[in-house]
Amino acid sequence: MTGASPVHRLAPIAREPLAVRLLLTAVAVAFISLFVLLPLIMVFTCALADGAGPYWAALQSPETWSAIKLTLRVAAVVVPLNTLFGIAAAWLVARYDFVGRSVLVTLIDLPFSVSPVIAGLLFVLLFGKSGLLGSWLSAHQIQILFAVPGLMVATAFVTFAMVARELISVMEAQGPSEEEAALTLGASGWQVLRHVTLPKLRWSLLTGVILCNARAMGEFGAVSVVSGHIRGMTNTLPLHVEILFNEYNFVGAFAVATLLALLGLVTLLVKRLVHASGSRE
Amino acid sequence: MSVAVHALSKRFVHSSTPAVNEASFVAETGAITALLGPSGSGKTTVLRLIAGLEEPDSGSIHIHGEASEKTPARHRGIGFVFQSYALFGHMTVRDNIAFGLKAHRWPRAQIDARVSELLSLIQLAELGGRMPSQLSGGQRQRVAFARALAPRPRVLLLDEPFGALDARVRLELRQWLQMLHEKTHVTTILVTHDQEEALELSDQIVLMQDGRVVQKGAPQTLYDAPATPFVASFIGNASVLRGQVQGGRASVGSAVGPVVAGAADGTSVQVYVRPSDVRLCRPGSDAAPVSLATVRSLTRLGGVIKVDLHLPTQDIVTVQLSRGEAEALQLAQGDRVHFDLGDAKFFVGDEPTA
Repeated sequence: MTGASPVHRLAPIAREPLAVRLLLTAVAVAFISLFVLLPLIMVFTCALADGAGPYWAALQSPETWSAIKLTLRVAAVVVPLNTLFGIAAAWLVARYDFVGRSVLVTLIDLPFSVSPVIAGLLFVLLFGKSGLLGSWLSAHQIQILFAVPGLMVATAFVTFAMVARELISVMEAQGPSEEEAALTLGASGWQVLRHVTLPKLRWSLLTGVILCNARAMGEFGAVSVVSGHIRGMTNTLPLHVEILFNEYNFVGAFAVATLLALLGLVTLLVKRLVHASGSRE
Repeated sequence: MSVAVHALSKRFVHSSTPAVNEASFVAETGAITALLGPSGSGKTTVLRLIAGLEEPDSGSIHIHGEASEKTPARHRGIGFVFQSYALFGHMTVRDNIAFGLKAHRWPRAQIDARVSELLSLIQLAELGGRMPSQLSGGQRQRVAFARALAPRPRVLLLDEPFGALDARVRLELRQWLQMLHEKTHVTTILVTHDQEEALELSDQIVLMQDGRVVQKGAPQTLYDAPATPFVASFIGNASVLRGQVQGGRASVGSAVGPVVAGAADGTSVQVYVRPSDVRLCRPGSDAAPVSLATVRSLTRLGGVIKVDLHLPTQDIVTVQLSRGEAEALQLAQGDRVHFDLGDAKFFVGDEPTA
């Protein structure tokens, strides 16, 4: 498991001079304070600027509620799909050598490196009125763009490789010998997957799922392009924050933003706990 | 017969040379056969082909007379022990050993009995509830043996099973394996690069080089009658000397070696001198200085003394003496001694050894 070995640190005698260490520490602390800690605190102070009452009111508005529910719905579909895909892709890439393997690895990483806005535009070109599939879709009265399916497709694209990447690196590091041992002991392919591969990967799988979920709920760019911003219909939490902000409803915008900030903090906390459990084995 | 491999070949996708090239041998029922060779000689690939973890390009594998090269690994009835143990890290020792029995759908009660039997066979009866990470390397490898033996395999395949262990544990486990084999008598194929391990454990050695089988036979045969210069140099830590045939004998400088039949005087020979093949004695007063070697260094290795000799031909030969022999000779650095190469192996020809 990752993190199983203790962290190696330099012994005092091998360290840099005090002045160098202080300088490096100062740079790191200043940077983190300015770009991470301060904004995080600002989100919460702005949200609570008018006290707890307006904060709760902003969170309980019907539009915020529908944004929360939509965000959860999108994640509930996208995360399981990408988890399944991640397991399949990792198995294929880490355990088999075939022609086009490196092309596949690059393709898996593509959604990661493409700007999310471009990803959104790709789907407009694909599903839009004048798009590749547009006329067929409208003939069959299927609405993807500016509707919930569009949000799901865009989110799935952006979070495509989150689980796969996590699993591929771990599986390549572990090597296939436990699976081979299981095969020589008479296990079928299914038994190997169920009793050896998946249990072995469970902590990295969980990490991948948590990260995938965080990204799915927090995605803005791609979703913004395909959403159409229909309030109460196709507004996810990040889009809702933007709308409130553009309407100068700062308390509302930051109140909703605290939800996303909390999601991020909880994600990191759970990820740490998962890592700790994984390291104990 | 038990495991018969015939003309087996395998080339990996990204490699220009075959990993295994027309390898043939028979591993007899109930015996230990060692696949010995330097790293990269293809011995592990042969083992994985027998196990069904790799697919051969050509050739046949018969396990107990059955053509097996197309049989999936799980139906070959083999047990495999990996150098890296490959225990299931998320299962207890008991569950590890029970894995193959569950896969074969043994009844619960029989599984429990068999696992307990194996735990006492590997002398870890108390540690059945531990996780593999809580065991030492030697204990882990014993669990791996138990796991492989549990479903009563027809053949046990061992891939450098002691390679990851430190020297003392390796010796312990080697003796333990010998004892285990006397109890179970399961047909065993052992891959190793350690000649000592192969000489000690096996009934037959199959020596491989560059994907080919270069010699197979009883350990003593390979030691006493190496078929090629490679075998001579690989088994027995030989020093290689260049010499010529003189008066029907291989000679290095003025030192006279073994008799060479049917080679004209002046033919080049390569002489392989093992540390135990050389006999030393104090020169008599009439000895010609040209036939004497100089003691270059003496190294005490526990109960034996390693002597590096500087020959008149400028070659360096390593000789091994027992403490008693060394004390009788009273050697010191810089001494000149008489040496006799009578037991050395020689090969006619100029070719450098591979």
